[in-house]
Amino acid sequence: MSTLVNKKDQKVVNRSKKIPVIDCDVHPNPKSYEDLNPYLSEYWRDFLADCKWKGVFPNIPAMAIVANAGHRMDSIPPEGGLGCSSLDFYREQVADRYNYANSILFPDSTFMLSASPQHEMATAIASAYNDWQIDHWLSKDSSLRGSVVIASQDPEMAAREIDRVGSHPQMAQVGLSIHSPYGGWGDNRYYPIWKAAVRHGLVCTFHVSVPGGVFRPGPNYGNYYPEFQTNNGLTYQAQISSIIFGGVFEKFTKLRMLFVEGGFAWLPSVMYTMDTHWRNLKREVPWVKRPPSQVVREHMWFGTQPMIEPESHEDEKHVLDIMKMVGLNNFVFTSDYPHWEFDAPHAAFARFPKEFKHQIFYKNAVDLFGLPNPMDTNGTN
Amino acid sequence: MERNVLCKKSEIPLGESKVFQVRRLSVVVVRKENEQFYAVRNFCPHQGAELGKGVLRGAARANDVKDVCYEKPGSFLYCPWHHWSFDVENGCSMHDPENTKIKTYDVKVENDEVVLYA
Ligand code: FES
Repeated sequence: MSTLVNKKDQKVVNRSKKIPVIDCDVHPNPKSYEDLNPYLSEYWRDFLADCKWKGVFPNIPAMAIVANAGHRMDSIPPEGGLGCSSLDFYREQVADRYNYANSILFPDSTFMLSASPQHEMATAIASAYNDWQIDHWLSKDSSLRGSVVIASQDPEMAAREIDRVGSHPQMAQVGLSIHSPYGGWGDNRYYPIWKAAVRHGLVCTFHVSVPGGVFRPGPNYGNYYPEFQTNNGLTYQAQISSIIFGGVFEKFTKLRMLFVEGGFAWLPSVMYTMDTHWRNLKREVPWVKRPPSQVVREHMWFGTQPMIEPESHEDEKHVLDIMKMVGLNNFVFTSDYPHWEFDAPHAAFARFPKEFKHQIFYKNAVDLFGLPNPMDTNGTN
Repeated sequence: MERNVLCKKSEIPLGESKVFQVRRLSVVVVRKENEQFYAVRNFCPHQGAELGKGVLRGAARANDVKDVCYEKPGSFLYCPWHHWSFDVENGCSMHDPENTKIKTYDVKVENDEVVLYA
């Protein structure tokens, strides 16, 4: 059996059995929200404690299925606490079991922060999550990579937070919500965020979220969770066209974006549609110099979870065809642990071709995040 | 290549265009504000609209995001259906000048007459 050994923490990637996996969507939690206290200013620590703050998730409109922050029932560590709040239990339950080479962390529920109308509170909490993430996770396992948590309601403050922690060697991305606080993500009010991300070589990653404030506009939020999950894609579509036609990548040519948990079957349709309207109305958006589908392939990546699970061999080919239409280089594996929609890598992709699995499980993520190749015998994490 | 006399120069006003049928060809002749004449095929390669029913405008180009300059006014023929646009000087489309083009023809003014060579 050949293995790769990380000198720092002796993490072992098994090279002879299962294909190594880089999981690009893992949500660690503090054991309790009091763990964040050391990282809050005295003002916010007292204020949030007095108000009995219980994290970000409880603020979203209630649905039974997400009452426990949507965690897998078995994800609570033996010693208690929230799902995915123990590094050891996470390793045992997921990382070691599925032969993870790296995990990209996105602290749980922080993708809801941008829905808060209170910029200052959201900014303080985002900042506390970053210091907690570095102390409790990144510094304890060199295979982990982190997200710079930001409150995007205030792009200038968000950029300052990216500058504060973005150069940490294990920070890989800026964590964003698919719902933008004001207007679409293509709006130039968000430029400071993109500028800071490029400055630190960070990927900008968008996670499924809810709209801000008290409104549930339009039908895409829905009354039921399967409805919400299905219709999420509508928000992704709208944001992708906002970003493309807003010319974000013309301005920030080194910017890379990753979209997780929003599906991908709709992508070929959106790419073709954008190209059609771009050709027709290039007069209105002359700053978009290349066909939008090309811009998508060069700048955007997509998480696989929730993986479309084909019923039959015939359907499986359709899923692969859809991914080929987008570009097989543009997908990375995401599990969404500890949420109950978790995709177990080798089971969710059991019937796909082996070469495809190598690409999806680690190769594309190696390219996107500049990680060492886990199959490289000289590579260390 | 045949010499085809189309009309008197004065029949096409400055900055406008006119469609002519020459044998089996339908041709749009454009007289730009600078007095230059151009001729292109009256057929949009997208879905076949008659380009002669479109308008002559400039090209919107951007040096930077939302920093738009408007160039070559009256040089681009905009299709009346879905707004694809073509530079009448070389037939190149604005969105894909290398690959999406319309045919251009030689047109001259000779003795005050507009003459097409096609
Ligand atoms: S037919 Fe000319 S643009 Fe569609």
